[in-house]
Amino acid sequence: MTDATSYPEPRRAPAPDHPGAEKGEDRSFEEIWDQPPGWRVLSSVSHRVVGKRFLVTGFVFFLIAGFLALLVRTQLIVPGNTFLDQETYNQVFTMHGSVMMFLFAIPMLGGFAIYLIPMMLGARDLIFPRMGAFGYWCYLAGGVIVLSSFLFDAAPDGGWFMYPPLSTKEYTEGWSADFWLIGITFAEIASVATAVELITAILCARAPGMSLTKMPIFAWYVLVTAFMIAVGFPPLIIGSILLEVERTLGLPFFDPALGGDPLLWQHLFWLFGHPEVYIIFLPAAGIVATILPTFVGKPLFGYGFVVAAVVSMGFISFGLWAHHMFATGLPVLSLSLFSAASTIVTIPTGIQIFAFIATLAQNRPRLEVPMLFVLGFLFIFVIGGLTGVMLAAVAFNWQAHDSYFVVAHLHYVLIGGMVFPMFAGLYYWMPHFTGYRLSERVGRWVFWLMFGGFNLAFFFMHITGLRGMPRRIATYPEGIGWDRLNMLSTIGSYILAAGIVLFVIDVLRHRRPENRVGPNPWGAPTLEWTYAPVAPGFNFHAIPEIRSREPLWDQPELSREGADIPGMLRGATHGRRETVGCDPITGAPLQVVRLPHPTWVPMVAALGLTILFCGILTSIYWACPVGLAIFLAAVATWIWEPSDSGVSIDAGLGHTLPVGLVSRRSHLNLATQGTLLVMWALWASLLFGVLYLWNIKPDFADRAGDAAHLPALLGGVAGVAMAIVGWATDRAAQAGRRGPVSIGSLATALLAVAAAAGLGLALWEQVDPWRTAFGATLWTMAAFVGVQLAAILYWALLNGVRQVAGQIAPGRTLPVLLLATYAKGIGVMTAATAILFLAQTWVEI
Amino acid sequence: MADPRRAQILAVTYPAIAWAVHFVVLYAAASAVCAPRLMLPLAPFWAIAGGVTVLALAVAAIPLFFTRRGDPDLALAAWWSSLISCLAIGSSILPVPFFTSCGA
Repeated sequence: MTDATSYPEPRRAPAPDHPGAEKGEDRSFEEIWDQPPGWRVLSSVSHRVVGKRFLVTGFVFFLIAGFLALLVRTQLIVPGNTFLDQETYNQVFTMHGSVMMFLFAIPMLGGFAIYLIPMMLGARDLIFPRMGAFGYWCYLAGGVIVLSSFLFDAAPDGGWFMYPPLSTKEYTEGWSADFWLIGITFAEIASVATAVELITAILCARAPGMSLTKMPIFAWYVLVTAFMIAVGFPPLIIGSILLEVERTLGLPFFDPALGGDPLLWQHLFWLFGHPEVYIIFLPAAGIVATILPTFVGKPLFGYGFVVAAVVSMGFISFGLWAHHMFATGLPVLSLSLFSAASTIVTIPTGIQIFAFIATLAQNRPRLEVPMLFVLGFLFIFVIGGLTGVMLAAVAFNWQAHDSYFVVAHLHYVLIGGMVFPMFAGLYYWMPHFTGYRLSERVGRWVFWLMFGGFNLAFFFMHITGLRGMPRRIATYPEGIGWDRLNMLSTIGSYILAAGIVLFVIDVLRHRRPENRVGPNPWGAPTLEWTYAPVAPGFNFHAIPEIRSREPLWDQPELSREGADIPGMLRGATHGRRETVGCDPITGAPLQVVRLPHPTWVPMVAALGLTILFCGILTSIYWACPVGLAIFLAAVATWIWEPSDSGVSIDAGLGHTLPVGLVSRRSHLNLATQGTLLVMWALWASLLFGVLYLWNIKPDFADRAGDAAHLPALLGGVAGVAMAIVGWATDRAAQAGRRGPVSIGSLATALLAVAAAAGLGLALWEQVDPWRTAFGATLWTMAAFVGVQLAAILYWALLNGVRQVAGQIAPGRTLPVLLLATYAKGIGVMTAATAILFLAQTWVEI
Repeated sequence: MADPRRAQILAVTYPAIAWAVHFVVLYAAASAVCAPRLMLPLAPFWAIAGGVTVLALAVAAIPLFFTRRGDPDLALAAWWSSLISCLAIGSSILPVPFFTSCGA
């Protein structure tokens, strides 16, 4: 191993030795990583800027949703209250739940992950910074769409779950449900984009030597959560699209009169909705698992136990969705399955809690404010977990269903499991964000107000619920045993709010000299504290080799001044932003990853989608193609840059690494596979809908009409051929064979057209989507696959134009490898769709 | 020689995948028995449930016996993942023998 201190550190770049290095050859390392000044900072794609944007925006949504909660509690403070009318009350509780769940909890935790993961893993940025920025702008636009409904007096009022038939056009006229469906779907695109980015960043951009078991535990939590988002969000995205299409075009997915079923929405919603609870809990538990060792002064107890628990929880949490539907009349045989899964998920949860308690038992913890919030989490979340076990029992669930007992349970789980860890994280990392710590004295007030207020507000709701008070009622009569309990809950909510207001005041005034912090103010073991706050924009001057899971405790060389820390890409002077790409399992360096400089493209792409979605919302349909054209043009600009694959660089520590590795282990290929995972989850959600309606409404399914055999068969064959061509092109690309690669790309594009035509013609005259819900679902599936095939065609055309324009130098086959990977996945999906169309006509029972 | 950690990572995940497959098959079979299309009577459901449970347990239990080589943290994670998944598979099948109808 070469000592990195022996490396020269030239401040100016030599002449570029490779095409593509055109963005900063004459600038120093520090200048290359500088943020754009003034208003142009909006073009920044740095993970630290984007992460802070998510955190600030998410917290603002938290305050808005919290204010709505206070309105709800004020309405319920006394019986017969007229503070809010019935309609406004419905809007307020709907928006409270929707904003908290979709616009606060997940984006807020995403903000922590985006900000922290690269620094914890020893990377200079996330591996797709533009994707993070694009996700943020989509999230912001989605949130603004949802909240702007108040301005149009069209705030959604159908509950945060938006159940049909209440949410259909027949019972909810106007735009209110459309605001919800379009705004929330838009925001979810941000979450899915962020998930793919985080999966790839964690697997492909770690410091040398950081194997999966040397990763900080927070990265495991985020990795599992990101996979859950990639699989768990698609059912709701599909459900929202189906409901919006029913409202806009009249296709009868949820109309029982035409073979639809409102319970299909509930299945799709809760297929997302229950894993979402764990999607919220897991990163928050990751924050706890990161903070605990710092304040105990010992490593996390049972790292392996926790990894097993988190992975198991990631799977088992998908088997719980129907426990929200115990009262809908599902067969008890099915309910027993969901009851079992709901009970068994306590085991991985319990393992984590025991690991936290065992860590605490290793040493006397320092009881500073972040630690107080961690202890608050343990106390509150355990109570929420215990009432969760009670609700997992079908018989008890039937009694407590839709009562305030459930409201108490879900707030104990979500506020205990997410809000308290979030505050712990804000207190812990605030010095990292701003260079100043929050007041310890005020922080204790904040904690005790929040802890006391929360328990006063929500503990008594258990009793209110057991005394029979249903959820979502705007008022209640006096003298039936609910009056004092509601009064106490409302007082508690005001105390809780006072704690949060105090926190906001402390944040606004915390940048004072006495609060300034030095290096590693908490004595933490993880890599994000390597530099004194605020850490420089490049995160690491040199990317250090990691030999321990607690590197700042076990590797003394990391406590040197930042610029003296030995490592790879030391003050890299290739004129580009760069970081090290690694093997997903071992962490061995594989490649140098070129990162983008500040750009407006993600914002423009999100703007295009905003115009598209607003066009649908307002029925100004000419705006939709305009928005789509802007989006596609932005995507083309995004991709339109020279491919650097084929260049090798001396990366330091004895490694000469390729740029843009052409391999299945490259970050781009992994991200393509991650995108395919999302697409397959979307397709599987549609498949669930098709099979569900076929099974539940057999008469209507049999009346829907049969797909034409020959076109379906030809479409399927084209899909199989596309997968085979993709496989062959993939091999040719890895071998660097130019001729077969070009032919393969052309064949892929032609086969995509043929496959789309086959699937479309199979249904064209045979199946009327307005006649039955089953037929409508088949058409939606064909349309979904058609969009995928159109994307492949567009991608192939872009690759071809880039090649003609000289953006892809001869012999550089990475862009083709990525298209081939995607084409393989979509080819198989096309074939599966064709088989489903054919089977629909052949299977008669 | 392949890095043993790759196999160990698989060993952490495939017991949970075995649970997921087991869950999906049981749910699908229950739907085939209990939904209006009435694709299956109850007797084959028990056979399917029993068969898939044996298979799933056999797959999920492998890391309980063969995970010692390689990274000790991953070995521990694989062992516990296997144990949790076996318990989850067992709990899914546990109520089934008590049903003589769909119970709706």
